[in-house]
Formats: sequence, structure tokens, C-alpha cells
Amino acid sequence: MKPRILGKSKPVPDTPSPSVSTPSSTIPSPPPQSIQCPICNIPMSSLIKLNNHIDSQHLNQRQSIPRNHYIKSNKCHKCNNSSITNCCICGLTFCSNHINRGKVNSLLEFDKNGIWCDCCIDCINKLPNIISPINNLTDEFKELRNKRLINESLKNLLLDRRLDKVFNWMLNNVINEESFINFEKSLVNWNNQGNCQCCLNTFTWLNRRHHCRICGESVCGDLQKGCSMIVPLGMLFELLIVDKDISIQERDRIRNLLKKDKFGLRICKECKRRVLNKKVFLLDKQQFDDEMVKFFNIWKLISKKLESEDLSFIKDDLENKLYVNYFNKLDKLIKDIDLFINKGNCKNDEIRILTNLKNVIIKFIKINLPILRKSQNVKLEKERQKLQNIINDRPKLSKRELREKRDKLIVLNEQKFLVTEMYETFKKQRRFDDLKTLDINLEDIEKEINQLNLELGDETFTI
Amino acid sequence: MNRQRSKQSQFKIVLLGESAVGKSSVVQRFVKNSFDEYRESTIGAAFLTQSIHLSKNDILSSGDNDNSITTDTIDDDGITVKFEIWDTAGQERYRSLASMYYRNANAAIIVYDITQLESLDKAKYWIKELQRQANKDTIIILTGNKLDLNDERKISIDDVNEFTSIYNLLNFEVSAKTGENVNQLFKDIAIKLVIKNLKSNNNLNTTNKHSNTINLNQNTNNTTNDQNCAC
Ligand SMILES: Nc1nc2c(ncn2[C@@H]2O[C@H](COP(=O)(O)OP(=O)(O)OP(=O)(O)O)[C@@H](O)[C@H]2O)c(=O)[nH]1
Ligand SMILES: [Mg+2]
Ligand SMILES: [Zn+2]
Ligand SMILES: [Zn+2]
Ligand SMILES: [Zn+2]
Ligand SMILES: [Zn+2]
Ligand SMILES: [Zn+2]
Repeated sequence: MKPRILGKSKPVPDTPSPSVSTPSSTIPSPPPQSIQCPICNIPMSSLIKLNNHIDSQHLNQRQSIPRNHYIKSNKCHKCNNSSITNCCICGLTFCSNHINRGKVNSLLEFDKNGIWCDCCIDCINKLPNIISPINNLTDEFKELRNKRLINESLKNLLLDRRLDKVFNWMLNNVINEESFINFEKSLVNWNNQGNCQCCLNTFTWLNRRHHCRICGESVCGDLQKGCSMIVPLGMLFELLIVDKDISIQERDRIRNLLKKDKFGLRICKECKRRVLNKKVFLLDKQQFDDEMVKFFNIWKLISKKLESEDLSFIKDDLENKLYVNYFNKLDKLIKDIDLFINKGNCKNDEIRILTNLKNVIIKFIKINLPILRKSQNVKLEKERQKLQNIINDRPKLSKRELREKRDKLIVLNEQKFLVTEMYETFKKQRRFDDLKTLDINLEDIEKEINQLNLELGDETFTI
Repeated sequence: MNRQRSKQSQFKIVLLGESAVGKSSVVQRFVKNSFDEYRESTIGAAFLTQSIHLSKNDILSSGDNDNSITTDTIDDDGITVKFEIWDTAGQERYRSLASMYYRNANAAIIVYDITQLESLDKAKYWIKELQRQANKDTIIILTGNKLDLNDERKISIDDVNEFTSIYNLLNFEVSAKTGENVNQLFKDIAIKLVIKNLKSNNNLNTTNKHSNTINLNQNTNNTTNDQNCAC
């Protein structure tokens, strides 16, 4: 598993949202390009200025709209939903479904120069001709938005193309200091004007100007601020191959070339958002898929094998070892899954899938392990019985035989000690030829000792 | 190849016999050419080694040579024989150890004390056990020790001869104290073993000649020679 690159990724929408939020009420406010006061139509340079303008110029007018005809009720006049909003013209209460907004003057008439008030749809419909409060700018807005989107995707496409260039360069060129620097500069012209495109700070001798190699814009280099960072080529390569078809040999060749992480490209936050996040997401998904498939295959293989076996009977030690081994593998699988989850790279749905798999395995173990344990006990008991029988069947040694064998055992142990000592002496004297003879003799002694121990059984030391 | 192998031979020898007959003394005389008037009784079984050199003539003129061994079978330098000797303890409590050592010995020297009648009984016991239990190829040599105490002799050479001729054994009288006959004993054993070896090699070689198989050993031998390091 490669470490997650460039922070945690989110699914990247292919369509960037416009920088000014879409109007929320039914009546769309004028598109951002032409902000003007809705009451007096004076053009405004920014939304903040417009707010200030309305507060200072038009707030008093609100008071001029009489409210004494308002009827107190907590039900919508039309549908009986609970509601507390009064129509400023008829004074009845309505729910949000049945109320709208319109420009009204102090005479409770719709007026282009009036102020925005809540009006019920009945009142609005009754007086449609005086002034339609619905100034429908949707189409105009859509058109503007589209233009912007096309611009955005063109820009993304351009950046993507540059990344492709980087990729092709890695594939087809000798990667050394000189070629890298030349290539780096050939990608895009660097913009030496203006502030950091990400944080808008000006550059000083402390906050030096750096350039994003992909878009060419000026950015801060400070890692803490994160306006840009140097991405090692090896890392970049891993990202770039996710959506490319490239042979394993070729891939490994480049990986080898880039292993030392000698070179890296500075990439700004904005470019990362536009083109790299997409690849990070793909890479993560790919890695998750790979890992998931691996886990699942192991699980399938082992569970199938175990299911085909009859765990309630163990034939011999070999079979026992085999079964135990299977369970060990399952245990390890669970641990591996946990480890993978705890690495923190998984998204919620991925964690859910893994946890489900884990639970299935645990359940399988819980059902099947006791069966194995039971048959293991049965097998052990059988072996114990057999051993007991052998012991019982062993011919009782006569007292004399017993004494002889015990004496022989003692003598053999003495001799073992002697030969071992001799062995050490010979080793010091470097009599290597003779060491072999002693070695063979030690083996003989050991064999006889074992044989005697077997014959004597637990009568070795009892009288 | 035959010559190279016969240049250095290694044989396993075991000594058996009643305690205090002088087994360890005989070995000490052979290995160190010395003698202790007061030596401790052996515990378990001791291991010693000694090499002797046989000249070409030693072998060719030996009575065991039935002319199947010719002058070009043996290297002009003669043959060096290395003995690995297991000197067992004669005390009763160690008797059970002996089988481990005579089991695959090339030769067994059974020692008695010519001044102690009972020691010959013990020697006979060992001969019988070896006939029953040991390898059929094991050469058995019945050896009377303490020849220097001829005045106190209780066992005459004729008594023993009678016995050895039945079992077809070699027969020696030695003195560990004076060293008389000790080296001759080991030299005779060496010659006997070498000739036996050469004969079985000869047989192997003749069978090799008759078959058309390529002698792989010859080749491997050459290659190992090439690879020998100079140190
Ligand atoms: N006079 C004389 N004494 C000997 C001779 N060989 C051995 N002895 C003495 O006999 C005693 C026993 O000798 P060992 O060599 O210990 O006898 P052993 O057969 O090894 O005895 P265990 O180790 O108990 O089996 C020693 O005191 C020796 O000095 C010999 O040729 N002549
Ligand atoms: Mg001894
Ligand atoms: Zn205004
Ligand atoms: Zn109304
Ligand atoms: Zn309603
Ligand atoms: Zn910045
Ligand atoms: Zn950029």
C-alpha cells in the first residue's frame, strides 16, 4: 500500500461551483456580473457594499409599510398548514408554499420602486399587470454559468494535458538533472506578476515567490500554508498511471528510475484540486479494490476448503495441522482487514464492506472452531488411551533386568560425559579428523540411552 | 586411484579383556612408548590414535600375501596406517559398553595376563561374544601380556594355541613393561588389514574392468585435483 498522497481526497465534481452562491429565494437575484440595488437600481461593486447601501438607504422605508391590517393566526389561510407569515397586502397568514415576494410601496400597492415584502400568491395573481414581481433571470444565469463552466473545463483540460506531458516525458526520456530542469521549464510560462493565487498574500523576501509547474502561477512555497508543495516524481508517477494503460515491465522500469525521489514538481493547491484529486481518488479506489479482492479471495478459498472437510473427525496429525493452519489463516485475515481499516484511508462505505466481510469470517470461525476443538479432544483422548495400552502391555522387567538396565544407563551417561569432554579437548587440539569419530560415538551412545529409556519407561528411577 | 587410496588407511581397533591385564599399558606403550608401574583403572572407554608406516616390502613379504598383491599394486613409498583405538575398561560394571565399540571394529585385541589363569577365562568369554555379535570381518587377536613376568607364568603358549587354532585366531605374547613384541603386534595387524583391503579393492577393480561403465570416480578425482587450493 502506498501512502495516501496529498491529503485526504473527496470525490471531485467535474463541474466546479461558481464562485458566487446561487440565489436562494424564488426570485433570483441578478447574476454576479451586474450587482445593483434591487430597490433603486444603482449598480454596486460588491455584495458587501450592497448590504451597506440597503441598510443605510432603504431601511426606513420598511417602516413606512403599514402593518395594522395584519391578522393574527397560526394557520395558513389556504391550506391550514401552520404559519405565521402575513401577506403585507391582504394581511392574512400563509405558509411558505403560498407566499411569495413582491415589491410594495407604502400604499400597499405593487410598485417597481417599492421594497420587497411577503405577498400571498393570491394577491400577486390578482394584480398581475401592474408589475410582475417575478423577474425571471434563470436563462440568463444559466447561460453565464455555462460559459463559466466551459471555461473551467477548458482550463482543467489544459492542466490535464500538461500532466500527460509530464507522464510522457517520464516514459520517454533519460531522467537526469539537466533534462529534468529543461523539461520543467518547458511545460508552461511562469507568471511573475501578482500575489499568491491561493492565499492572495504579497511576496516578500521572507515569503518568496514560487511557481506552480502545472499552471505557471505564482504561489507561496511554505508547506504550512499549503499553497503549493513539491510532489516527488515517483509519487506523481503512481498517480498518473491510474487511468493509463501501461505494461508492468514499463511501469517497473520507471518506478526503478524514480525510486530515489531525486526530482519533484511544485504543484499548487488549485491545480491539485482541479486535476490531481481526481487521480488520488482513482488510486485510492483502485488500491481498495485490489485489497478487497485479495481479502475476499483468501476468504473464499479457505472457507470453501474448510466446508469441504469434515471437521468433526480428525484422521491424523497432518490433517489436524492442516485444519489448524486454515483457522490461523482466517485469524490472520481478520487482523489484516482490521489493519487495513485502521490505516484510516478507507471511506465509510469501504469500511462498511470490510466490516461486513470481517463479521462473516468471525461468525464462520465461531461456528466451526468449536467443532474442530471437540474432535481434537477426541483425538487426544484416543491417543492417550493407546499410549496407556502400550504401557500396560509392556512386559514387566524382572528385578535383575531392571537393575542391569539401570546400571547400563548410568554407565552410558558416564561415557557420554567422558566422550563429550574428549571432544572438547580434541577441538582445542584441532584434531579435526578424530572429532568425527567421537561425534559418531556420541550419536551411538545417545541412541542406546534413548533405547534404554524407552525400555525402562517410567521405571527409570523407581525402585 | 587404487594407489592413492592405499597410501593412507585408517582402521578401528578395540581392546577387550579382564581388568588389570594391562590393556591400557599396551596401548600406552604403542602410542607413547612409555610405561607406568602404577596406573589407574580405565573408566568407560578411552580413545587414542596412532599411525605407523608400512614399507612396500613389509606388505609384499608378509605371510598373508598369497601373490595376488603384486609390486605395482603398492606405492613405492609404502603405506601409512592410522589406528583409531578404543581402550575399554575391564571392570565388570563397564561390560555393557563394549558392544558399542567392537560392533564395527576392524580388529579386536583380546588381552589376558599370562600370570593370571582367570584372565584367560575372561578372554575366552570375549572371543565367544565376538563370534556371536561382532562383524564377521573383524580380526580377533588373542594377546597374552606381562611376558616379562615369565617366571610367574600360569598360562603356557600351548594352552592358548590349542584354543586359537579352533577359532582360527592370531596369537601374540607381549610385554607392555619392556615393550617386547608390542610394535610387532600392531604392525602385524596393520599388514593384515591392508592386505585384506587391497584384496577387496582388487576384486572391485576386476569387476570394473569387465563392465563397460565409465569410471566416474576417475573423472571426479581429476577435477578435484584441478580445484585444489594452493594453501
Ligand atoms: N610387569 C608388568 N606389569 C604390567 C604390564 N602391563 C601392565 N602392567 C601392570 O598391570 C597393572 C594394570 O595395568 P592396566 O594397563 O591399567 O590394566 P588394564 O587392563 O587397562 O585395566 P583396566 O583399565 O581396569 O581394564 C598396572 O599396574 C601395570 O603397571 C606388563 O607388561 N608387565
Ligand atoms: Mg585400562
Ligand atoms: Zn438601493
Ligand atoms: Zn395577500
Ligand atoms: Zn399554504
Ligand atoms: Zn499563498
Ligand atoms: Zn497551479
